[in-house]
Amino acid sequence: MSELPSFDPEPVRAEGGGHAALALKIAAPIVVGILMLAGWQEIVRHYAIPPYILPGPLAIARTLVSDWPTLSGSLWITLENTGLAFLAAAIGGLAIAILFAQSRIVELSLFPYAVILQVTPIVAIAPLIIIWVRDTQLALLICAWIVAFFPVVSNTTLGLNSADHNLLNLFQLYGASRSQTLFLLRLPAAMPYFLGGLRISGGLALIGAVVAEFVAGTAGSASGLAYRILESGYRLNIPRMFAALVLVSLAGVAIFLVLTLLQWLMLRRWHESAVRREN
Amino acid sequence: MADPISAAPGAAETPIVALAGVGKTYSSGLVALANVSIAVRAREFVTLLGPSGCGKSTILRLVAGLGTLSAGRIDWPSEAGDPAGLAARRKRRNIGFVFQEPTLMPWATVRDNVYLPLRLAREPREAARARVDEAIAQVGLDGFEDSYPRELSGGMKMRVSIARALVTGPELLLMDEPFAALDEITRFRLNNDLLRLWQRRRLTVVFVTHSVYESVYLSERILVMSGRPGRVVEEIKVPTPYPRDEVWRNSADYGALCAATSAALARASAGTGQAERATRAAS
Repeated sequence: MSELPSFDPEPVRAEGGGHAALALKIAAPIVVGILMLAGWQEIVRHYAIPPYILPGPLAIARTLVSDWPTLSGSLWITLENTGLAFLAAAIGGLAIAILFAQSRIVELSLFPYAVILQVTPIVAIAPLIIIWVRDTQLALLICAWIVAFFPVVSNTTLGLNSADHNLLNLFQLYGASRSQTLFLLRLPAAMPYFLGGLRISGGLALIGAVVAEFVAGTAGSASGLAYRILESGYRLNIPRMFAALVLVSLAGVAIFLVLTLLQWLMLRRWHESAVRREN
Repeated sequence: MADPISAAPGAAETPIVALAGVGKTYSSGLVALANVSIAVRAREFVTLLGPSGCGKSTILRLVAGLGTLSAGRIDWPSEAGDPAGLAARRKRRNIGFVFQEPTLMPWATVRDNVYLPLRLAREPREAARARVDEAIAQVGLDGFEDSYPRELSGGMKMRVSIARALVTGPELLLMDEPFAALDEITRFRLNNDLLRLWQRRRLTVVFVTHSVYESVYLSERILVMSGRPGRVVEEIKVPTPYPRDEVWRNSADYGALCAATSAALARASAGTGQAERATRAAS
């Protein structure tokens, strides 16, 4: 066949100025960050603000290093709760979405309850869960899961129902079974939606875990970062409070970056969202 | 209106598929098709030509088993002698379908897209490999087996779609305006390549288009349809032997056939066509 001259499979490659753009993307926020930290440090020094009101960034950094043994233990506990809740949200959310996609009746009857669970503030339900569930860690997990599972469910359900209708016809034409249609068509089509849901859900799992720790308070046996923040507050150890807060933020950023990388790795060959536009 | 079935010369050969009095009414009350009778013989190239919305695609979908008939029958004479008629009906017929869009899975490579029909029939990948690669080579895409659809041009995607339809060695190939979205140069190339494939693989093709020029270039037989409700109003034979090429595309013979077909299409679009014929008879 002779269409070859017009064949032009544009290879996907970085733009000409890719490196400069990337450098700017990294450098610009770093410069802003350094300027803000310097300004903060200068204000604290100039007005001689005592550390129990507002510690400077240097003091917080020093505390981060000196209290690292305590803080790292708390960080690990919070990360563990977040990770478990996130896994449960990913797997549970996917399973619920698949269940919804199997039958319109199931979706119609259960979806409103998923919404109710989502819109009820977790701070309001957390005390109940902590009373009902004896195991504090399990109670924290449940709280974080409730916050995190909804984006996965709603996104994946949308994705499962977004499969190309012509492809659905094609599958029907070739006599595909229900499970073949699910695994070879609906799930791959839902993948970008599922991954988008995961990215939201990762941050929410951390928020859910931290909020639940706050509600459980110092009574909790587990002592995550939220517990450290509360405890430091009571003891007016404000630099340590800030240090724990910094760790919560960094954990959130790390989760987001890891999930963004995962999304890119899974979609880079085929999905428009992950492919660089070349104009 | 002559019955297209009896109009076939040397109709001793039994058709592959025969539609008899087929009607389709949608739940909205829209009558998409009324009393459509078509017979398609083995290795024939038939085109359904008509304005948009005249039910051309509906016919293809019904033949493919997508959707249910409101009236009439679709017979597969080769299965008529089958005593286990029910079992045969449940078994999938070997039909290839090419949609107007390439309809490829964007997450799968060219090879996996073409492998799909065999995969759905639960054929192991290794056993199917040779046939998949052969189908890809036949549409001229060898070397692109591991590319993803988004890396291909529109014409190449349509080739993948054709390879996928051919990989099962279909007894009937249904094509629903497959080249309508392509530029003219690409469409001409694909027309030629399709004719070559049709001859080499001895395919039976039912092709749907709204382009007079495409229908004349490709077909042995053109069924002109009119809409509201959709029905076949005229049959036009294109006697020019194959292979047809670009020289013929520029010939007076081709131009005359296109003019005659255009006139038939105009009559069909003008309404029932009967009023027209009555006027001509009177003049």
